[in-house]
Amino acid sequence: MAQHVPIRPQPKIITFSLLLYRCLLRMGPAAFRRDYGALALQDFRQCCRSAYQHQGPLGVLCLWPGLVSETIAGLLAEYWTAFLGRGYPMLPTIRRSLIATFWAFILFLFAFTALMRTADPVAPFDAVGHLHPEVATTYALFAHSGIVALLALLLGGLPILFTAMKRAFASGPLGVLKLFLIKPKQALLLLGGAWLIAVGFLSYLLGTAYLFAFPVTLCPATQQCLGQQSLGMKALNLAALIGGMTLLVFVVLVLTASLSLAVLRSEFSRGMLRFALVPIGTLTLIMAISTVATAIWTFRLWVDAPQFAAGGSGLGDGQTAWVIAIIIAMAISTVITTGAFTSGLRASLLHGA
Amino acid sequence: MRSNQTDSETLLPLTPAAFNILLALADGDLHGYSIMQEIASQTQGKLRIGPTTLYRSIKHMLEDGLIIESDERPDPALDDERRRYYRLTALGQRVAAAEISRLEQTLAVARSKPLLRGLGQAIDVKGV
Repeated sequence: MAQHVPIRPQPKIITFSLLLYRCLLRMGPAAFRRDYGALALQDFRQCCRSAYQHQGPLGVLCLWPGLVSETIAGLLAEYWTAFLGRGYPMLPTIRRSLIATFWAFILFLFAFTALMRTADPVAPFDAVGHLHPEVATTYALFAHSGIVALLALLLGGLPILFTAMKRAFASGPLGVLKLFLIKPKQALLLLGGAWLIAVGFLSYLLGTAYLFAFPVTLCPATQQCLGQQSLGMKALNLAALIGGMTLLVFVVLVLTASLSLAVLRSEFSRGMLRFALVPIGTLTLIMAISTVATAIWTFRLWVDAPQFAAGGSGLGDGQTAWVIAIIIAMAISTVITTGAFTSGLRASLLHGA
Repeated sequence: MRSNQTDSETLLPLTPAAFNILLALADGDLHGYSIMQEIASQTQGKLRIGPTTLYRSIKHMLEDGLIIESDERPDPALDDERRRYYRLTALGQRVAAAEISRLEQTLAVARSKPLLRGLGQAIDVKGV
């Protein structure tokens, strides 16, 4: 049975002190306020309560001079740090670079797989490639870049994963579990993200099918086609499709997040993190080449073989929009990896100097 | 070994707040308020850091890999879920040891100075 605990009203002096501290915190950099504002306020509340318990309102008032000077000086220093940066941010910067590169690679992998599926069957595209060498060259560049990118990721990622696992194994199977564990809140967030991606993707597919009005094929009597199904059955099919796709994306997101958390939770030597910059740099180069090659390939297909490109076996029926979306995804992943590589390299050079 | 030593030394000297936070966390995971209390207790009230200085130091120490946020809670039933606990990392331990060694060297130099020889007893640090 639940007991009602009388809630004692907070003394006015504490409320006022908290208000003052909140106002002071508002003057600080937004990032610091966002990350630590609530925690600092919570701790200050506890300081006030303790001072009130021991010395009454005067005790709380005595906290003010120290609080004001400490907060103003601290927040000014925080602005200064945010403006000029710190002298030795190498370890966290490269760690962040690793995680950003990994997420960018997953996006790139999705885009790469999607384009490989778009250009499948390869035979008609090969025929165009025989006539127009630039189409064949750019396609070959794109097709090989995926494999080289995967190798680069394995070269940089496996030693890091191996080190993290080795250290986690030292504290038993529970240590390994803790290394990769995703909290329920994080899992829910990923599930929401996966659902949004699945719904967005299906909406795109249905939208293009509606816009480009694919020809209705005759339905064999032995099968029940979508057009002949009842509304309830259609809704059930759609729900199953969304559910299946959400699950698939969720698994990919969970694996990616789990590996990222393992990198965040582990300790690595400076040498290993520095070495990781080599595969990150290679990956950046490959992604950039692949993105440019894909853009040129699409453009050349339309210029050199417009009839094929506009046809159903080429890039017609909404496929061009799909390829453009793929190129955008590839460009985003390239930009992220480039940013991760340059910030990691800058941190490494600054530290090495 | 050499690499570890170099890693630790590049982060020296530590600010008094950072050094005391490392010392406070040497006994186990603590949240922000208990770190403040522990620092006041271990310095006999001579060093009191406010919440802003505490979280600025924590932010930088997290960035440097000296401490990490801990997922474990000593007693989840009694604890406020919003609290964040912090834990000393292996690098944090090495840096704290390197800072202690640096301070010991400084102290040895101070004791060797003729002008301060009479103060030898006065600058003797208890508990180190």
